[in-house]
Amino acid sequence: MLIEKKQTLWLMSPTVLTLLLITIFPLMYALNVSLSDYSLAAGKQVHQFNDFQNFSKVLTDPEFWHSLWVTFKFAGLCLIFELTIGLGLAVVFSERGFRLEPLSMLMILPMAIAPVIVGLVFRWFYSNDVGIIGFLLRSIGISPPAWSSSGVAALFSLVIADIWEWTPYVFLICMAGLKSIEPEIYEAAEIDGARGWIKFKRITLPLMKPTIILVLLLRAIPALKEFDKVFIITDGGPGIATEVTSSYIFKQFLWFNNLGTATAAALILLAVITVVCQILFAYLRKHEEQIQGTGKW
Amino acid sequence: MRGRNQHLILLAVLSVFTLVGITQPALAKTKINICALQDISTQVALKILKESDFEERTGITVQSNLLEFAPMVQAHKMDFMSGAANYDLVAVDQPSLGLYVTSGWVMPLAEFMTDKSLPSLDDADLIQALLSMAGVWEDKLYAVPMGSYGGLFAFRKDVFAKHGITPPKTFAEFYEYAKKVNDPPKLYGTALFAHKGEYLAADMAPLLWSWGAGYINGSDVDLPGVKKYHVAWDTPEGIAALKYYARFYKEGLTPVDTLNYDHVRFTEAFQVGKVAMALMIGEAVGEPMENPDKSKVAGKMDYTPFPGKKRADGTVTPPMPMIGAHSLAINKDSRNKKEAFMVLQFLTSKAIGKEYILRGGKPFRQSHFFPEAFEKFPSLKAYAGNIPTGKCRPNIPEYPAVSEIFTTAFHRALAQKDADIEKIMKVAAQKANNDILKPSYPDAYK
Repeated sequence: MLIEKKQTLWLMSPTVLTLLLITIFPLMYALNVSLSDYSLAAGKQVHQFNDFQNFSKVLTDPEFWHSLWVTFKFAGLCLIFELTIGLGLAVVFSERGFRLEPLSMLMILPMAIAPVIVGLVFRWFYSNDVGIIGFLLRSIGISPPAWSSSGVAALFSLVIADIWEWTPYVFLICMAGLKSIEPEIYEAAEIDGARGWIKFKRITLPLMKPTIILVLLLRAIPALKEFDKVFIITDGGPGIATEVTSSYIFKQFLWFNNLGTATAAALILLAVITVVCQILFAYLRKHEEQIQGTGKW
Repeated sequence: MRGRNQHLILLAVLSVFTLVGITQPALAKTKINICALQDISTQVALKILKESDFEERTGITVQSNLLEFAPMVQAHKMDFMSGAANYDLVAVDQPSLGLYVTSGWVMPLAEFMTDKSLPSLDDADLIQALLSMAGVWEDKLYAVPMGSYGGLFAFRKDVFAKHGITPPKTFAEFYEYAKKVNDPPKLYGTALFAHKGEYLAADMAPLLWSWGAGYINGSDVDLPGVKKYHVAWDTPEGIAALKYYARFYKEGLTPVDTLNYDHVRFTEAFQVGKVAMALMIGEAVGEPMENPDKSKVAGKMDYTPFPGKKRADGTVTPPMPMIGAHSLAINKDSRNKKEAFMVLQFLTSKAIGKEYILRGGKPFRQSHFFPEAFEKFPSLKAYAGNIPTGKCRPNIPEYPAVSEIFTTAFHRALAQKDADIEKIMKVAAQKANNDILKPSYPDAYK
């Protein structure tokens, strides 16, 4: 028994060491930097404890709170649209019995493209001079909007790019979720006279709850730490209208040379994302407990 | 069993390859890595180097990582912070020189210039206005300009002829002409290089200077009424200049998405024939306009030096375009400093100057202006006329942060319909003074 235990520990040690090296060490280092006066500018590369000044600076900076608000707006809009479109399409595909295979490559394509490239492609799309959107709108006699001069338009330009990139992913997960629902449940409901919307509301939606929470969890994390597309398409503009927290962090590091402040902001963002994930996990656990307790969904 | 044997054979083959890889002796050649801006000047100079016998003659292999501005700065900082010295040579933008030098990231070039075994920089031939702001810090040479940038007044000859106007001599005329020819959405009076970030700061700088203001007093300007190391855009003159600039956008004299115009989009707006005139960025001048495969306005463009601001006494200020350069400097952690200097010397040398200019590189030496070049690139004449009175942005270490505050606020002021420009920019000035400049120059705030 003891030998078996030792063997297990021995076999697990590379994984644990790797985890320590790639997760715990950088996190501890980041914590150390966030608590230090670590400025890159003007030769002031001092590294000493500064009484949580970086955290206090970030938490009292209205621009940080603004960026957090923009981050939640962006993530919220993306999740709503992606889930609605992804789930809607999955239901249609599933009900009509469409085959996925011919579309599978197309579905995977947006996810396979690097976010920076997605940003560049959409940046070109939105160009009023040579972009496809401007061209199409002009061809039907509509003046293309000034994506860059209104905060709302700029935010939606980012959301549209994210929808294009991630809706297929949501769709594929929802398709898998729908396949796990027993067809007999639908047959029984149909015998009872349930059709269309009622079937969706009373059967599909409740049974898809764990899948939906999973989608929210998997999509919320990248959406809350989105950077690439924002940097390329709007650079946080106009002004700071679309500045997400990752852009704020980038700005603190790149232009203000405040590595300590940037790291503190990054750790706060990490805490926020962790809280959001914990809420979703708790919801998922509660749901599982309900099933285990009652034996039904 | 057969499958297991196959795996073992594969493992053995991989191990042999790995061992061969590890034990392979290092190549005798020295490798010099450059991290620079992806601009035409750097590309042309590197191409000339690769086509020459430099690598064969010196045993130095040159590798380059050419990037857009922000990723380039990021790559530099990561390299300096880690001390890895992945890059031996870095391109320093003129306003960042102070930051790179005072942070101890790049080294002075004096020791190489006195080394007789190394080729000369021919520094007397370098354009002094560029060198003093883009290469020299506290009387020491740290970097050598690699290309240059500087604006010109660009206009469509056909549009001007149609309206019977000649290139404006003053900014007031520029505004009047832009209004006169404005016919949206077919043709806009002008375009602004107003993408958020350093683009906007670069576009705005000549106006601030012409109006008698600037970014940081004691760095790009010396205003008698403003304390040293205080921002200088919030003076009455500065606010007037900002309002003048904003009028073009607010009154619909520019394309609607001009607030998103970086180098590429600004250039494209001209190429599609949508803009009549502008304070043109250097990168858009020449080939991008004249290549008929890319441009609808090939043969229709002409250039003059910038207009000036009419003074109260009726005289006009000289043209004050923004000039600058991305200068090459040696990473102080480089393991091959001498070789890095040799590469720097070759890329910026007088010897390749003629070929460099004729292939589209931007001038940074006096010898880069010669008859054949003027003939091939007529805009060079206007460029040469601009340089003597051109100015550079501040190069103190705090400038990038001050500029970020300025451009974020001004971009917001431009985008908002009824924005109070004066109020927004004064708040930004206060923030820049208190958060950035005061901690660095406390004596100036006593």
